[in-house]
Amino acid sequence: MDELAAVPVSQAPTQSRTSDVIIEATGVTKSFGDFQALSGVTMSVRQGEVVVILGPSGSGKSTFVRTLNRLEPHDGGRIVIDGIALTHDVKDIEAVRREVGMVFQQFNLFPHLTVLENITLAPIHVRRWPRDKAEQVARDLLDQVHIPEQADKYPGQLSGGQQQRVAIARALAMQPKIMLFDEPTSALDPEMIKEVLEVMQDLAQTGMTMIVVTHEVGFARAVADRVVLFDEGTIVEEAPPEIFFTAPKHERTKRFLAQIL
Amino acid sequence: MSGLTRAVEGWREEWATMRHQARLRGPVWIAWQVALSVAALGLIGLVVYGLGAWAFGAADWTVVAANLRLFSVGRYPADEIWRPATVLALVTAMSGWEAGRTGRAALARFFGGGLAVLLALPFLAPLVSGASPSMAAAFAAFAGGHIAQLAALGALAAAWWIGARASAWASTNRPRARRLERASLVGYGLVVLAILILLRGGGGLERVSPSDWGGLLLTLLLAAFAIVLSFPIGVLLALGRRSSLPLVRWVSVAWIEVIRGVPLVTVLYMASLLLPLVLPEGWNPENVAKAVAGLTAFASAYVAEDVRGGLAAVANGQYDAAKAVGLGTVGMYRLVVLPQAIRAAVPAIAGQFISLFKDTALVLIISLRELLGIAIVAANQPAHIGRFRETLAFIAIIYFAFTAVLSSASRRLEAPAHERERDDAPAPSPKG
Ligand SMILES: Nc1ncnc2c1ncn2[C@@H]1O[C@H](COP(=O)(O)OP(=O)(O)OP(=O)(O)O)[C@@H](O)[C@H]1O
Ligand SMILES: [Mg+2]
Repeated sequence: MDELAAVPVSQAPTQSRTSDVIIEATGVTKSFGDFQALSGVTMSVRQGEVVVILGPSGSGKSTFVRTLNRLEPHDGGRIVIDGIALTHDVKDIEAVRREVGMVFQQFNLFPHLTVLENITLAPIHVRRWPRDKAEQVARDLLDQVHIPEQADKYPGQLSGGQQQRVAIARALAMQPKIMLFDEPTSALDPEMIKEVLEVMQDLAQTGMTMIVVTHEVGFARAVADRVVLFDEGTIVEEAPPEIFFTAPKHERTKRFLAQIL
Repeated sequence: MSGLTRAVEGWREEWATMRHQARLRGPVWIAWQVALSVAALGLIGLVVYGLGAWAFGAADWTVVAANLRLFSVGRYPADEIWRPATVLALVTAMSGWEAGRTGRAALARFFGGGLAVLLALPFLAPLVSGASPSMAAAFAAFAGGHIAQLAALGALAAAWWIGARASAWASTNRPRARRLERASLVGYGLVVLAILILLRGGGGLERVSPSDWGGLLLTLLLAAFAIVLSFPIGVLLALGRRSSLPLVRWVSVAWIEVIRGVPLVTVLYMASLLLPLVLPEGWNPENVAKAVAGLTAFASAYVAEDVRGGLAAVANGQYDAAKAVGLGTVGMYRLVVLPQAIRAAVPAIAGQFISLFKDTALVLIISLRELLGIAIVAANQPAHIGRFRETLAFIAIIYFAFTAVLSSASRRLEAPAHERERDDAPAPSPKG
């Protein structure tokens, strides 16, 4: 039981905010046909850090986050995740994806599987855990996202906020070192945004390395170690939240903040 | 019972709508409706009366009564008839077991319903032809067949009950459930093997050449094998069509498009004539095997197109999510994409298989004698020469009985697919 209780979050590094770099992106470029979605993005993230990405629609936020687990292959530059460089090498890609969890705007739960099956699928088939262990971990995670009673329902029977929390549990079940969030609350009704953000805040407190694309300024202020502004495929400004929101250096950031605040 | 209540409910509603309409639209409309109804009823009456007058009057059903064995098993030796009878019982037991164990009762309904109609038919025979002496004799001969059918129905019911028990026994215990599942799969494999051995003979049993198999036995065999084989091939073709390897993609597309562009008759001819050429020297398969190959090749192309439609219905986000949790391409398709795609394709595939069941009649052209072949043979016997109407009407009833049950069973399959589709939609707002 003791070993089973060791759910992913409690296994994450206890002394957070260490200085080891776990994500290293250098000059990343990406084009869709003639359109350049990323034109040289350089970002490095230390273990345990929470980075919030802001930026106008179409600025390349999703594209960048998706290159980090190679849902989009990048054209140029270099991405190293936990010491593994992302190339065409399928083995490396799968190794990185085992270490990186992702939460999507549209939840993308597997509609033909129950909540419990959604969460245990990858641990059983990728990590090769015995079913009992996978289910135990899944139930602990459902506790952690405050919906232990929904284990046997299908995603279509849950509210949006519940679905997104299942999606977070599903990503955590693989015991990732890094969590990517692409606008996790943008498809939610206002009253459900809070429950999802709370779960994410709890997660940040356990020392998880997180990259969060969001428009939730409150969350950025409270949780982020660093806020990054994307525009036209590059990083315009990068600063701790206290400075970013009160004393931005760049004109572009000021204009952006004027729009959203 | 609930079906009946629903039907009554439907009629009531229709009647209410009609009265409402009548009040709204006035007497001219009513007169018009009445005239139309009378005309339609008259037409139906004419057809029914004509058919009935023929069936109970001019028709001579002895051609059917005298050839019931031909219709059910073809030229299978009379002494060995217990073998197809056992096969029938094995198959119905298998479908019953599956129905009881998993609640998926489509196959059991198919066999149960088909058999029930077959059982009922001979009781109509004396009614139709009066109690002529020849009928009495035919009826006596039929009793044997009846025993086999009753045994098969009994096997179905018993296996259904046992299957339900077994599933209840395993429901609280996961390892038990998995063992039951595995044992069932192995069991199905063994049953299929046993069926082939029983039918062909060998190993102590007298050999019966597959070219002597015929009638309903052959129809069901051809359909069953073609369906079971074409499904996985069709799925693979659909996947091959979107493969990143050009050769695989090209071969899949060529297969699908060529087959879909050619009539089934041609495919069957090609299977019959070309197969011996491409196979190793001296390896000339039975006509039955060639027919299965042709039907399978044909159906697989259509299944592939249906599955392609199902694949298109799977949202892109599903691929993203599958990759993001670390599944490789194989796992992504096996665990996430295909289950959804196939579920979405089930209605189309079920329709395909109903067509396939009827299309087996075309193996006539490579001199196999399934139901249609027997209908022609029987009507060419000196004693019954020219009785095509009777034999064709008889097999029409049999085809209809089986396809009717097949399509009602497939409607039951469709229901959960629709439910799932609703689940699939992203839920930006709360659902309760
Ligand atoms: N698969 C694709 N094919 C073609 N163009 C794409 C594709 N994905 C993204 N783009 C384009 O790349 C640009 C950046 O898209 P991206 O989704 O990264 O923006 P974003 O910052 O996430 O915007 P939003 O806030 O709307 O989500 C957009 O102009 C988009 O149209
Ligand atoms: Mg985006």
